[in-house]
Amino acid sequence: MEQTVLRQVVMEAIIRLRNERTDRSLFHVFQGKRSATSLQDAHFYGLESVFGMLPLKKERFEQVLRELEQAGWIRQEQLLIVTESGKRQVSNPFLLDELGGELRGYPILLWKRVSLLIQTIICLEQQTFFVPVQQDSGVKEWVRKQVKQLPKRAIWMRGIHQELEVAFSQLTEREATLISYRLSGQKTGLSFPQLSERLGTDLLSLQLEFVMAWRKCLRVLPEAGLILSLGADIDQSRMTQSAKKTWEMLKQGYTVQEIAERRRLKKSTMEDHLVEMAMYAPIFPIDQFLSVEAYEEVVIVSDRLETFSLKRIKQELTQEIDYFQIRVALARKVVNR
Amino acid sequence: MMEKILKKVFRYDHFRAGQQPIIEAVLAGQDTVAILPTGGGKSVCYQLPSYLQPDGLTLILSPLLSLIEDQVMQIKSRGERAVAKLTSLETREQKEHILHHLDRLRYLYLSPEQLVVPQIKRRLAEVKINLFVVDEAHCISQWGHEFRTDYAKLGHVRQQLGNPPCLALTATATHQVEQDIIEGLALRQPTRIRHSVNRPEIQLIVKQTEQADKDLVLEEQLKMVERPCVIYTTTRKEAERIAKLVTNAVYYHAGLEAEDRQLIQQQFLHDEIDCLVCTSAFGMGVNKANVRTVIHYTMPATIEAYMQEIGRAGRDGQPSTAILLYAPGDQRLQQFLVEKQYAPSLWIDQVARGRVQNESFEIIERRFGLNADDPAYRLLKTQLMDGKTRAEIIDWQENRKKIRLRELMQMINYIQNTLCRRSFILNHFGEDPIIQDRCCDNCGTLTLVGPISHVEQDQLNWRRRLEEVFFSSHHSV
Repeated sequence: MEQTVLRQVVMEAIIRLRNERTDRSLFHVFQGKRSATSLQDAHFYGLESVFGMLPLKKERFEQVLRELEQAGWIRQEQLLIVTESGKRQVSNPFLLDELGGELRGYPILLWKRVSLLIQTIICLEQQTFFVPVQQDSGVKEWVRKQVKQLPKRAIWMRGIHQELEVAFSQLTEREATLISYRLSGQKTGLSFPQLSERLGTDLLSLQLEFVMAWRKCLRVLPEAGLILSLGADIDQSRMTQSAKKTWEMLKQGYTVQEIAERRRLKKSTMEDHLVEMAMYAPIFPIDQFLSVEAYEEVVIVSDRLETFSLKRIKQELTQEIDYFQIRVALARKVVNR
Repeated sequence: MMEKILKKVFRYDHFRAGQQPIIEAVLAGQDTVAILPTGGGKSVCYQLPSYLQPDGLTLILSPLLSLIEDQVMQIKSRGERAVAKLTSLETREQKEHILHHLDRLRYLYLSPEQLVVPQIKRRLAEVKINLFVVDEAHCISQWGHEFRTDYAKLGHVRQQLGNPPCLALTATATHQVEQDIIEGLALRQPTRIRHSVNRPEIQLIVKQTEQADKDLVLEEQLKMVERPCVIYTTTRKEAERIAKLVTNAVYYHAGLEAEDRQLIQQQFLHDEIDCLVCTSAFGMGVNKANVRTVIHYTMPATIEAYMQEIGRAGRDGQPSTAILLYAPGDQRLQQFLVEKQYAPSLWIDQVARGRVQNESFEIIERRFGLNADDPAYRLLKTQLMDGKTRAEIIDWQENRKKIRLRELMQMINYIQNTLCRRSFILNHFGEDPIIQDRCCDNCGTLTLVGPISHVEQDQLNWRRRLEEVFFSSHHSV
């Protein structure tokens, strides 16, 4: 079977799951479902970068898995299992690490802002009618405000053009092509189907390639430049809103017990919030939840068995450590590496 | 005064035929029925009077979300911000916000099912409504090809809103449908303005072929007609297939992502691409003056629909061409689509029996695995809620199907007819025949331009592209 970017990314994700998770788990990570389990899967199995970046329709997702199975690369039992020939299909570095899912919606929202602002400014300067390339009402509103604030349009345009030209020359020809042909102004950008036809790639692979190219472009754009400053206010934090609230209260000195009572949260919900903090916060008071010895034992067992399966780890532990504590320990293990 | 506004707000130099009398009737507060062909500039007729009237709202009822969105976008793009829409797409918060700021609005677009929501109706009854516009008014007629149950209630709602002056608009209506509109909306001594459905700038061609040769015939035809060109298909899949087949063609349908749709619309408007392949449901948003050719790869269900769709050609008044491809069996898909719009008798039995036993719709839906969003089922549900019996519903449905199959038959008659095609259409709408140049393939007075070559696509080159996007391009218009 022909290898495509789409199939490769899906294979990489399945390999990262170490034969420990189901197709549903993978689907939810691709969709970016903000449930405790999916957030944890993304964090434990190195799938933050693909979190929410492959929102396929259910049928399409299942079709891709079927193709991989027919090619003999995976087996679908209770869990997704990678075959020996499947392992040979991927190589380092993994493509999926370039998708930018760890920034949550940031790259996509910034693209929407930048593309619509560029189109608007160019067309206003030329006084030509245009169909706004983005329909998102929040983005439109944001652009409307920016347009009013922009003092010298012609200078701004030249600045943006230069930033892009410099950045594109640090990308591959293909990457630069993908981004430049999506921009609209005096010329209109090409749709993904048009581009996929011109470049001879399937549609979904091409869309993934675009996302990766744009992510890479964001890395080479000047940090305090015109383009990146347009996204300075975009929230990149991975914590859910509710967990954030709990975190704020913890920092104000409330105890876990007090927060649970005040916010009327169940014990399990509080635990989910604490695991989120353990996953995403740079500093986390782990000793409040388990001893150093307990933490180290979880890490050792997890390393020895090469697993993130809570059940398998628990079976091997000599101390009494509950599932919540194991989750916290694993979350910190990932952060500390 | 009217011309000034036309120029200042709408940026047109002259009124088109029929617009002025309609606007005058509206300004005089008369109920009005206007039958203007597609491309005749219907929207100006109800949008302009608002600038010559004291404060007050213009309500516009329109059956299709895509039409509403398109209109709102066009109004905004000319700089008018006092416009809003209430459809199934707005959230509750958005709706409440709009309803609380009605006094700031000039135009409010509504889908008909929104108008009967008690809260919306109550709020609208409190404000001054200058004009009650019913777009696509033929949907009110049970004899019309696009009858909508929601439309049947509009007359009653208008009364509840204090009988504001009404403007009923449609592109195509036989005399019978016109009468239904007047009665359904309870118009009082309405001014009737009927413009001929004839579009003299469009020559009419039908090409009959075998199924297997259809693609070849399409390619041959494309060599002889001018672009920009729109090709209509019935399904998305077909649109994609045809787009692959035709040089420089791009498909456009609801399956595309929003950003891609916008890009393709813009490319077409800017003449960066010159052939669009779309499903008929999606051609609505295509508002381009210089479309030279409309081709139907498959037939539409009615002559009315056909006239609407070819009406997208030649809006600038320049010579244009409409080609309909037909292969035996093409009508079967349309027959199937007609059937699918009505509930099969099994459902009627199941649901009606459940209702007799006082079961809720939810329970019945779950038990029989009925999809609550299926239009055929929704229609059935409305009828049962209106207290119709099983026999009445079956009767009504059979009647509707008969009407629609008869309309389909008329479309086939148009295709197989060997006399003047234009006269056939005019006769259908109760108009007298016309003799003109560039008429139809049966009259034999066609003008075709002969082989046309297309510009080769540029090699992809990001540096050049970036220049072209930001500054000037050597190739575009």
